[in-house]
Amino acid sequence: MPVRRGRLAPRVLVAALFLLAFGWQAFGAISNLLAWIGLATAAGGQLTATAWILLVGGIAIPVVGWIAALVVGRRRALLPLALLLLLALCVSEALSLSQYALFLGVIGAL
Amino acid sequence: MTDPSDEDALSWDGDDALAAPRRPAPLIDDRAEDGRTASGGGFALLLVGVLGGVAVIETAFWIRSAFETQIAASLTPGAGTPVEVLAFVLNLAGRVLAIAAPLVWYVVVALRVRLPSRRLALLLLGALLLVPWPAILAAA
Repeated sequence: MPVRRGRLAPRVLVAALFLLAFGWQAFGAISNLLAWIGLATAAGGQLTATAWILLVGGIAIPVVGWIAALVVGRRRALLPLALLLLLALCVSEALSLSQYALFLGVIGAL
Repeated sequence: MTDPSDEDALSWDGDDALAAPRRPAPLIDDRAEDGRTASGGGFALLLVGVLGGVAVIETAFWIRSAFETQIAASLTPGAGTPVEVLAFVLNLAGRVLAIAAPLVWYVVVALRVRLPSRRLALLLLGALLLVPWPAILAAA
């Protein structure tokens, strides 16, 4: 059953609000990638393939998290959708910390 | 086979009134839509409890992860400009959400997913997905 326009607006608003939070996380991951590329270049080296995978993975985590929550919650009411997006944000934050720790482990800083 | 006339011979008017009273409806209806119990039985309940314990332990290790030296060092208000303070507050909120992730996953799945097999599978997925790697890697 298609979601009516009157019920669609609050869902879009909730999705957009959470997009800000997920977007902030993705922005941090992009900043991280650029900073490490800069550091590697300044040191006269290059990032390894593993470091690239981990840093790009850090950008992908919030993007995949937001889309996955929207896909799972697309036919649900407003509150379950918001709950799913909150859960996805929590998981995304945890996975991002894990990804950063793995990256630090790979470059020998942890 | 019993002859139906024999059954008639063993019944009297008013038998229905002497029948055992019906059990009252349960306070918590744990039947799934297909008629099976939503709790999934004793073993499933035990597993749900064990996975709840895992979620609590993971939360404790996420708290420890957030205070690992390198992880904590990445969270700083910088020079204290309004933009840096805002970024610090947003990142701090992110850390809080990361710490809460195992318990939020557990509560949402345990309360919202009714099918026992799906609930168990999702709880297991959460326990595997939310392993606190920062604390584990720092300890290794």
